[in-house]
Amino acid sequence: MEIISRHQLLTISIIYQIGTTIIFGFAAGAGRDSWLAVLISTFFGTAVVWIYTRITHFNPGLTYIECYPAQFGKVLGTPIAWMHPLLFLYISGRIVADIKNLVPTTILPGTPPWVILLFFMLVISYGLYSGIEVMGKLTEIILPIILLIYLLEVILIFSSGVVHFDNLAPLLDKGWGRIWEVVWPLGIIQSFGESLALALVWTSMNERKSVGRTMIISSLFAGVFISFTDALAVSVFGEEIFKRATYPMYALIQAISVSDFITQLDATGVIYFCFMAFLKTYIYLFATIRSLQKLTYSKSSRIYIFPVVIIALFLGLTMAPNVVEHIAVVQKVIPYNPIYLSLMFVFPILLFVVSWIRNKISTATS
Amino acid sequence: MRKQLTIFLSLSVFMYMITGCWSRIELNDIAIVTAASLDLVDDQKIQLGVQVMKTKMTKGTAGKGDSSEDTTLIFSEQGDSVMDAYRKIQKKIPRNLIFSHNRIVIIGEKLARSGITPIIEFFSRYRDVRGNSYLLTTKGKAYDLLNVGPNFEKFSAEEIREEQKARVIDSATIRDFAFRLLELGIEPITSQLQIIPAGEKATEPSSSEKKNKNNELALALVGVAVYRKDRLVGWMNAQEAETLLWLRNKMKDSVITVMIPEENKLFGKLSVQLMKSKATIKSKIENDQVQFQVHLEMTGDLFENTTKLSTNSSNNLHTVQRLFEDEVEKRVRLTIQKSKKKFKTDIIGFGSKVHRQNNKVWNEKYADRWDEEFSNIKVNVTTKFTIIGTGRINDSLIWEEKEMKK
Amino acid sequence: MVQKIQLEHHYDYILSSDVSEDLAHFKTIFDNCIDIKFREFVIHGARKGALVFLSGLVNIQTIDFEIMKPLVESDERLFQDSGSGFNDDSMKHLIENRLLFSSQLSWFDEFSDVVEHILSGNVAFLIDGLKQVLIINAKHWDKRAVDEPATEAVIRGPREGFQETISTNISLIRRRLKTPQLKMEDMIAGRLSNTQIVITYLDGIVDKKLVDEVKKRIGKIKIDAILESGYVEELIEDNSFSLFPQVLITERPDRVVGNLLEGKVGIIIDNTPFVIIVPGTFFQLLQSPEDYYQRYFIASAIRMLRFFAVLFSLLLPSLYIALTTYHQEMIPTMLLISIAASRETVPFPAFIEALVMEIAFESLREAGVRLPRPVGQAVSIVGGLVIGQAAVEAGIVSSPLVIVVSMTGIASFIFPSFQLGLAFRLLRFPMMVAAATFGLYGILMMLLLLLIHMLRLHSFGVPYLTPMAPLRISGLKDVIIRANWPKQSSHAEELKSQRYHNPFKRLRQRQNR
Repeated sequence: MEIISRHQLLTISIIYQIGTTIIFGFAAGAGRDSWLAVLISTFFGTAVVWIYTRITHFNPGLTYIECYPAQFGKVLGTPIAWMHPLLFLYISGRIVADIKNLVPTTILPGTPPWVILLFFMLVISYGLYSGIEVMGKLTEIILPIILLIYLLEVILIFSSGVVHFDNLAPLLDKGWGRIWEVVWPLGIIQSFGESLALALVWTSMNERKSVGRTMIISSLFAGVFISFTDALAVSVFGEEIFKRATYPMYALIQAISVSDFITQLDATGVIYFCFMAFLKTYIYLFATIRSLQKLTYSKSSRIYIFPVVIIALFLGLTMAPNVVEHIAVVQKVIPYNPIYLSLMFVFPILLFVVSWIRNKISTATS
Repeated sequence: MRKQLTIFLSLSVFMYMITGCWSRIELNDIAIVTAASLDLVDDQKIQLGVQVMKTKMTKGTAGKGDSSEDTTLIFSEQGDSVMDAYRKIQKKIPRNLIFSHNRIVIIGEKLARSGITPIIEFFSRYRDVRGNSYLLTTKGKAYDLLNVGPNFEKFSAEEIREEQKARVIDSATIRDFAFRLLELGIEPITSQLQIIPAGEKATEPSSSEKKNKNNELALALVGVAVYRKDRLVGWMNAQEAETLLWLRNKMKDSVITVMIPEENKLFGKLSVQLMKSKATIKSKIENDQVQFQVHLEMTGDLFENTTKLSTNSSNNLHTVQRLFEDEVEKRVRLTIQKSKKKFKTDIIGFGSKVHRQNNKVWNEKYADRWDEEFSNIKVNVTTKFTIIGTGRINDSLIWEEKEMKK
Repeated sequence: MVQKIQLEHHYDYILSSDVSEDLAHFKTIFDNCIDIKFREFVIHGARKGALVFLSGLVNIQTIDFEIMKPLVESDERLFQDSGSGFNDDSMKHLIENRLLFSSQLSWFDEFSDVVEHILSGNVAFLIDGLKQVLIINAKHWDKRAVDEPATEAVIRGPREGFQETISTNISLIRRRLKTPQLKMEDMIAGRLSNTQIVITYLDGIVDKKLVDEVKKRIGKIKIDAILESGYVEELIEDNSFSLFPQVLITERPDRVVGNLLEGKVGIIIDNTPFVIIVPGTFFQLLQSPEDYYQRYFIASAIRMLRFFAVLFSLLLPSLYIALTTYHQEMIPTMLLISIAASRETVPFPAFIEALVMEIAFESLREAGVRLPRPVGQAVSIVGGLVIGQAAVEAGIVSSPLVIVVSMTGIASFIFPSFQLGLAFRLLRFPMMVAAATFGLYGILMMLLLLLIHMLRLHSFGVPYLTPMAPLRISGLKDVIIRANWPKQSSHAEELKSQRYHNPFKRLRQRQNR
């Protein structure tokens, strides 16, 4: 059993939660109030994440998906549990499709997407073979670098003289309506609801007691980080362009221009994104494999790596013929899908309540 | 483990073998576009002109490049859309045009008057193009401007960019333009670029040692082009353009000169260099009518004094300050008046101030019909001018001379 | 190998008390060995004795005057005095105390042990009537003087380097650690070479499990001969399918001592000036012993410089390829124009151009190593200049690329560990291929591959990238910078946190006090 430390879990979660959001933007629908929308989403999202952590806390020794059969009984729990790996696999396909859409249109025009994705998946499968411990260490090294580069970029943007904070005013111009629209359900699902996949990592942690605290810290950090980036993007572009940009954060990096020398660092933005997507896909595939392993009671998870990676690659290649449809599906269809919503909210809350009551009863009797 | 790794490594090697380098462009195969011009020609076609770096000629380090040669090449083509014209140019030349280093985009008057949304759209969407390029408008045909050679830099577009960055007059990049186009309550402007005889070029000292075959002509920024939405409605001169910079708090440095009229016995001129300028625009709703309070606070150094006024006494300094206050107020009033009455377009952004400061009123009343309301707004201008330095001498030399003669 | 099997049964020979019989056996074993000398003599007519030794490895003077002379000239009465009570023990006593003037004496029963000792340069003394053989140390052979280490020169610091003789090397370490805590354990490896290997560590600081692991791995070595430390390195490292050196190789005694103080284990091998230190971690390979001798601000700055050198030597050519062929927009306009102008006449794609230049550079470097020293340096420098200059003039190679290649070259010489430098030199090439195929995306993916690989590596249970990953903030003080002594961990703290997976902290301040 591989063991990751608390710090490693923290770095994995932060990168995972900031994730691809950093490029595709978050809550752009709320216009100049998007930063506020993000903060509100963070608040509720953190609560959701906390529920997830509580569930695993009440069921020590079990991975998240094993809790369903354990609490709901085999007949009811097993089908629900089986839906998780499928969901994870589907979302990882989505992220692979992100790469497919972004990389060729921005930095590698003309390169066939399947080659780019094949390379991507090769690296991911090497990572999957190496296990979660290696990934924990990888994020531990890379997160400081990412934050450092981000800080540098922020400084560069400021020194490019394109930031106008008046663009953030007036606050709540169009009222709370559009804020709530992006907060529920998209805002909570994106980044925070998706942390469900991280639940399968928690069992590998050495101090399981601090899982909850670690996850809350990382959720808050990621929320503030995204919120700040949104605010920055709005103050550079103004509301209207921010809403129209396909990749607002990518455009943000394009805006950098310091004394004509450091300009057009957009390729680095894509690189950023690729790494985030790498880790996110990794976690989803890891969660898929771990779930499959637990559900089929196999000893080794390695036999699943190859098929799962191939399926994700195939999904990514066939899913979403163009970026418009892709983003539309991600932002308009998936969040409202009943299966999605029930896996993210309804079932976990039920599971939480059931586990909590059982836990109470067992502590009372003993 | 070793076996897996071997398989993995051989797979990667194999992958390299089957992959080519699809998106690779060697530096020998690119043509760097430094400036682009856009004109509307007959049949509603768009004429795209590009100024391309001639890399061979710039091999200046070895001393082989002949400085009298042109460093840039100009290509031009007409098409139904920007993309169409661009493709046509691309067919003509053997190299890949890359727009990512484009400095300026010049728009001809005719196109500007018919609306430039398609241009902005292309320059915001196309992969290669960056929003950092400056957008300029010219009276007449934009294509002609590309032919004017540089005086200092390797290519003329760089000179324009440098001038724009010096912020002598209000300027706009494509990103700024798009922002102001889409934002409610503020209308876009661009700088106005014209060909002028080099000798009269105001913004740069004439160069004597550098001989250029286009020496007789030069490009200069002479003012701003005022747009309503995406259509050009008129021009403003350099002084008004400078005032716009004050109002938008974008001033870097500028000089104000006031004259004491001949009737006054102190007759002469005073010039200050502005160090700081801060404009605050406050909106107020009174009797269902929006009112603006524009307040400018400026500090500057007195650098030229040909009047008989001694700058040694604080009293006189106050007089001088009041003179400047009046001058600034006059200029601001004139500029606002011009945008209100002549162009009826809110280039200063009063609308966005209302939006930010009284957003309820804005949303209810003005959001949709600010264009009509704008020409009726009341603007109250106040100024405060402080002279903080008087240069290396504290009193006018002229004044002393007069004293001695007496 | 064959010979050894044939001789196998001779090793089973049990020593008799008869000198002639024993000697006959020695003669069979050492058949056709002209360097083995047998000297038979009679100790005052009383007893027969014989000396067996390797002529090249012993000091003849010692044998003549300190062994032979007292034995032959000894007083007859010595033997008579003992009278009837004259037994083996008193004979031994007599020889040890009255006859031989040698400080290193020992008695052996086993024939094979005796043979081994003879081969390692000791003198075997056979006496009639005694079953045991006396081994006398009279080792002496020609050796290099203690010299400045060639591969790890420092500006400030001791100029002594190890040399080929293990006893000298041990003495160099011992001189720096005058404490009984310093342990030296002897092992033999190599079926034919019977190479002496000494494991050294500081008792009380080192983790016992680490020492046992090292002993276990060395014990498992099955090889005919060990000619250099590289044999041992390859046979004991965790993951031999890797470009990265996972042990620290050094020629400097002060560096060995420094590492022993950190709780590491040194492996000294006979006949090589290179000592292996395990476990080896990546960041340690980037450190020079001089870092601890210089002022810590300067040392810290130099460490940072090394990190940049690592990145440069790995990425510079590939970044050049990626930027010029994929991401021209990222190059500042004026620079782009200059590069484009100088590339104008170059007929090759940037990748081929860079590849050719890199290979040319590497060949020059390798040639420089093989050539005689005075010629070598001149060839590599002048050759590089001439090739670069001429190629640029001819328009075959662009001058920015020459700058890139030479900067890469300089960066790869900054590595304090030559082995690590080699790894990065080689890794540069796949990086360039990736950059030529996918631009920056390719570089990122290759970097991820490389990082994952490095994170998988362990050296004797210690993660290769410690203390960066897994992160140990206190450890970073001695990785990214070199903190001053008092701020580094104290000994008490060290003992508390001493765990197998977490053993390395600087301890040298203890020595400083």
